[in-house]
Amino acid sequence: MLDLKSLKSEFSTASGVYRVYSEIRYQENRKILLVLNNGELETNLTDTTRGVSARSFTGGYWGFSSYSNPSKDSALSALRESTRNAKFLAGRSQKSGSTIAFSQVGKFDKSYASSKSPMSTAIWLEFLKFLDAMILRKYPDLKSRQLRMQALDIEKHIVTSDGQEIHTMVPRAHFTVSMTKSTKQGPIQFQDTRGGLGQLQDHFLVNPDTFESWIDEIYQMTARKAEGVSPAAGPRDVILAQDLAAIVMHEAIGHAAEADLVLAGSVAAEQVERLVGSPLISFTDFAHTYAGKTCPQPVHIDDEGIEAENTSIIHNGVLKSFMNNRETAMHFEQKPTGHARAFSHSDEPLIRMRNTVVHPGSSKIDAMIASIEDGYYLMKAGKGQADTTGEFMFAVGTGFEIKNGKLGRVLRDTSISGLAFDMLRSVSMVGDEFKWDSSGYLCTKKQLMPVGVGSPAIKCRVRVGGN
Amino acid sequence: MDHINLDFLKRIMGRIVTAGFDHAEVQIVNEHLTEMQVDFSDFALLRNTESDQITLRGIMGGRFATIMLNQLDEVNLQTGIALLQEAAQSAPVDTARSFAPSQLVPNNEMGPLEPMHYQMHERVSHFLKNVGENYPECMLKQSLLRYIRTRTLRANTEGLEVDSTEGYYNHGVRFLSKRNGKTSSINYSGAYASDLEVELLDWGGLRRAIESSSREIAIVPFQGKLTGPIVIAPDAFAVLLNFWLAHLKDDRMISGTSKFSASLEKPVASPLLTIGIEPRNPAFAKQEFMTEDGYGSEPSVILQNGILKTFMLSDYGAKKTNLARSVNSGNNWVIEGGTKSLVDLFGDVDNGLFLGRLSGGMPAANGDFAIVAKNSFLIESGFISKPVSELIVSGNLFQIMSAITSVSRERAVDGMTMVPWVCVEGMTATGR
Repeated sequence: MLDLKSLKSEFSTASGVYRVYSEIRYQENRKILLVLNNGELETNLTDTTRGVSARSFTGGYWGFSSYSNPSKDSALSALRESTRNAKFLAGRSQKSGSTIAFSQVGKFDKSYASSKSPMSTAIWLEFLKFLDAMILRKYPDLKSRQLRMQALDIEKHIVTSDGQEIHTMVPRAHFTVSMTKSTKQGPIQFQDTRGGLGQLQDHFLVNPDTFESWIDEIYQMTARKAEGVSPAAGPRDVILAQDLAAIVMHEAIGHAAEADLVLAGSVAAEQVERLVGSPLISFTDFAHTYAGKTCPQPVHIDDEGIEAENTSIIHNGVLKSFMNNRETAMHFEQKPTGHARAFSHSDEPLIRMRNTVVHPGSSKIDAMIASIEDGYYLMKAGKGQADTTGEFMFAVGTGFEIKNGKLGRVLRDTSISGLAFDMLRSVSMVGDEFKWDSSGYLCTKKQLMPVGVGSPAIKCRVRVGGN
Repeated sequence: MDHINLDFLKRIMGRIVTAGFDHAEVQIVNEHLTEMQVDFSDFALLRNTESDQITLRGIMGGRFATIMLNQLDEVNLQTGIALLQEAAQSAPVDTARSFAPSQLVPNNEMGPLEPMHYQMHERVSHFLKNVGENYPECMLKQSLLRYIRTRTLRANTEGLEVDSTEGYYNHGVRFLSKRNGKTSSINYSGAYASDLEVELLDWGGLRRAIESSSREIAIVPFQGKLTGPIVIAPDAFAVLLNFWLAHLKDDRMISGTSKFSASLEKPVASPLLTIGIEPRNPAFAKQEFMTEDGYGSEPSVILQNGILKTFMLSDYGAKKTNLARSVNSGNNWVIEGGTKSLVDLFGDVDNGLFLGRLSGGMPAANGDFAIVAKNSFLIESGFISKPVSELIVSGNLFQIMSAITSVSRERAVDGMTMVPWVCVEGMTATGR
């Protein structure tokens, strides 16, 4: 780990006569990826990326520079170049009134590294091979099977010119089993993922037999989906299962409340303190702790050295506030609450959500299903997109018909779409059981970013499918 | 990076062999990026990065492993080789793993080798002025002008030695149009160029997209259902084609889930569709010298008048499936233009849809899809008419590719691909 403390004295030297805010970040991303495809090891990858970057702000402009060689000299070069880059833009354009908020965090150190010793690749491969053999033995009728194990540790050390000194290490680990069955209409696939905050040894250092019931469930859903039906297209009353609701809310509602996208004209821009959804909906981006427990992606101090606090986005249907970085907080005259994060050492911090939560309501899932005469219970978010005008669309992996208040046949792949605030206004029931999504969701916004998303089931009206 | 050369790679390779590997390969990719970012019509950020990515590969008794690092110091190399040993020892024997043989891979220097900061700033400034003056309704959300230089060195125990450098510019823009409080859908455009001679507005399809955006302001939700012909713009067609081509590649071919595994030399798409890959086409700023598995890139024909001529398999994928290796990585598409002009392509449609962009969603494994259409218009009596929103297009990917009824003579060129407009039957557009 590069010691950045000794560089703090360099901030004023690099800025010269300009008034400059700067930060220096050393970051290491450690990734493991093992993929077993039909019993064959397709990917066996260990990827360690480390480097140092600096970002500087002057005259309303940002400069950034990074090197993959994390030495003191590289850090100083990055600081000088980032300052020079900001000055290059400031010397050619004029931007009046743009300034940034300052921080008073001081020192902070937090690591979520496992207390257990790391295991070798061989141990994890044996784990995968054991489960693969189990699947092959129990379910020879599958057309293909894939087991994927991945881990990502992100470690950062940041110093800022307003005196912050931060060290964090946040790991996460996931294991996915995917099965494919042949049908007359072509192959049908189903997958599920387990894991979350922590390293591989925190989640999977157990007797692999304990995964048998989960694997059985995946097979049962794959088999039922192969016999499944496509939903009738059109606007429908639906229940979005916890995992799907969590991701749809993050993408369709959460991004619209990111202050940089608000400035770009998102649908939330003029809606603060207005009713944008059902009063049953409250939606918060938690920094690190929810309901007394650590969130899947805890952020205590962000990459600008700002203390992370919870941000209430929607309370009882009313849009309350945006998510800011140092710069947008000054623009909107709001307090920065620690949303600026960068994925790798060579990325600049962007406004990102941390752990978005739809607050649970009071409805029992049985009552929610019983309330629908003709609709669907939808699960498993696939590829999707939401733009800042509020229009969203997601692939949906499976689900169930609901007929006369009862679950019916399993659904094949479908999709949902609609307008974000229309969907929110249509929410008529919110489940009482909250669950974090465990799929290892990586949000994309110029850079990838690990995020936590959680929700109860939600009853609402969206458009299903296309035919 | 100055001290990095093929001798340095060969020394690392020698250490991998000394560690017990029968075959070894080392690749170092050094990348310089300079990025000028505009947010909401004003400069926001100037960013430069330098990064190394080192890939160590080894085969020990038929057991294969890969390690990726981004540090070239002794401690990290030593750790990397130890990790490679551990990974290989735990891997199963796989006889399909091998490295590219010694061959005449040209060592190239192509494109600009240094960024032109002042010209980049000037080009972006001019672009902002140009958009402001000529397209006052256009709201730029973000514009990213990037210069990228990549030097790739690769050496292996089979005698392969490659040292290539390529530089190019890339410009990507996100925008919408606004008038009297009404806005269009968001749109995107991106393109590659080897210099900054041409106005950014004239890179790829950017000017066309901004002009179209202005017409989309009067957008109304689409009502009902349309089963008539759909003209698909190049960007949207590329999205569908990517999903379709995935069935010719390693993942699906090896796992046995490809639709086309037994279709070589058989019709798999419309006879109007001919798809070539031209990695060294001079019209492209972003070319390919070497495949991802280390072979010199050559042109190929994937589809000839709808007949499948070759798969898009890596060397490994080819050995696993007993089929031929692809002679390129499949990135530089050249889709043959048709005989009809765009005017005639639209002119033949009485009642249909012009599909500008696809947003979200992906086809299921059996090819069925339902995806939101953006930046789209009705076609009435041969002309583009009303802009429409909130519509979903659906169909089956494999049927759609066979149901192409015409291909435009004009093609969109973005510095990396050439893609025409196509007209298809068999897709359904559904509105509210």
